[in-house]
Amino acid sequence: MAASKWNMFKQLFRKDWAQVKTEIYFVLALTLTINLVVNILNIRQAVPLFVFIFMAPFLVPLYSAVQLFRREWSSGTIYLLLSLPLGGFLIFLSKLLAVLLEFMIQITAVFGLTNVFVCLSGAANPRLTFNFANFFTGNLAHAPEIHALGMAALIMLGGLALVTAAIFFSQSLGRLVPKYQDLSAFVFFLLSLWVAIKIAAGLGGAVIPFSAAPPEPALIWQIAFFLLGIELLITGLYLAAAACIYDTKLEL
Amino acid sequence: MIIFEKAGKNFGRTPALNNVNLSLPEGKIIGLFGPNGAGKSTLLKAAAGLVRLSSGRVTVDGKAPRQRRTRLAYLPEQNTLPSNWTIKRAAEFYRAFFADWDNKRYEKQMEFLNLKDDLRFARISRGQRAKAKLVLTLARQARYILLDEPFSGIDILAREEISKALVRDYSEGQQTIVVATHEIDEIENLVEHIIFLDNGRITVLGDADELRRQEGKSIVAIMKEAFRDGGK
Repeated sequence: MAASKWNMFKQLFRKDWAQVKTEIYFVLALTLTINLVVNILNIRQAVPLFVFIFMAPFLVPLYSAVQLFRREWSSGTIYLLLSLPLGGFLIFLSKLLAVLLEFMIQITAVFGLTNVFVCLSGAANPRLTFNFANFFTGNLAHAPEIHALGMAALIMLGGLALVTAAIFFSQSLGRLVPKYQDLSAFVFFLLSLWVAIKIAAGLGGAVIPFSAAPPEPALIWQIAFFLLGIELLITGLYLAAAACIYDTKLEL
Repeated sequence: MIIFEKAGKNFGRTPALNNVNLSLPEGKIIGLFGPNGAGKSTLLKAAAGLVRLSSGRVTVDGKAPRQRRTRLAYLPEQNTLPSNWTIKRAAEFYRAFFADWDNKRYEKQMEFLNLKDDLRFARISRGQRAKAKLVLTLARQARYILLDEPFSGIDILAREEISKALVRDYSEGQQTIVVATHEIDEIENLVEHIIFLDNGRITVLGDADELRRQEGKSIVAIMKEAFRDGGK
């Protein structure tokens, strides 16, 4: 029976997903604990702790991205990966998807659970939570916050994909340096982010019309998709570069 | 056939392989012997495409090893499977990647080595882990099986079991098995061809029976002599 690429990818994803699960449980536990303390036990002095759980869905997946690649070397599973009949692109794509899924679950859980707890406590605080009233009334078409949230979510997802791909690229590059590999990877990461910002700013500035008047929802979505497109383009470039290093340069 | 042509590998300033010219005979069990640091692991890793040569080249059936990964089964000395995996999970993983995976062979070897597939790598002994890794490698009907120190850190009983498992399903003439080890006496009777490596150079090479006949000594004695003489 011939081995299919799809089955290979599924197995790789399962392996990577198992590694990011711990971080997801950590964020869920943190969210539940802080919400219980603030909204159920009503200890208001703990409100500043919300900063941690609102930042966690953005920072923890980046930590996972760094660890996903580093652990391959520290745990020896790089031997396994390098002996698989599979190119680097699918290997990095699997890791990227695991990180993106982790982000989506964490951000949904953090904001969703917080809303539930705020509703349960009966003290909705607009500073802490988004107004989801329009979801329940079904009035989505004209709800400005839905457009803003949707756009922000798309751009954040694309941004996370880009930063994650930059992490994989810089870590692969860092592995080629004989000494101070982690430090080199960090420097490469900063450089790759700088390049990404330059590309995005160049393309974005040339195409997106800037005006003082607030844009229409339709235009908001167009801009969001355009920015997402740029982010995905750079993500693809970094992933391809990481895969190229993996396929042609990396060794034990 | 696996061929090394003027193969050299340096780690920094330390040479691990030094101008190695070698053709591994097909369809045989080959013993790759040498003391620690002789370059055995590097030679195997180069054949498996896991390290890149600093000079020269290595080919597997005429192509670079990385293009022949479906023909190569490599067993490293290190633990290379996620510790939270069970043997069953690892088998499932391998099955998805290698079309030459033979489930019957896997089940037979598991039974032979008295392993249960729900054992988790994090919780099993070193000997069980070595046996599990060997089962996963031998369950493939790969053309080339490269085993790096399969007896390392394992008690004498487990060593015997591993040696028996090694030849149990071996397809003579069709598969080439290379065993890199410094525990020569464990497999002296199994190997048909011998390579002695010291300081990254081949010092003795040849058919095992012929060497025994010529020298009138066991392989262990020949090797001891070769290293005492520094390969001269």
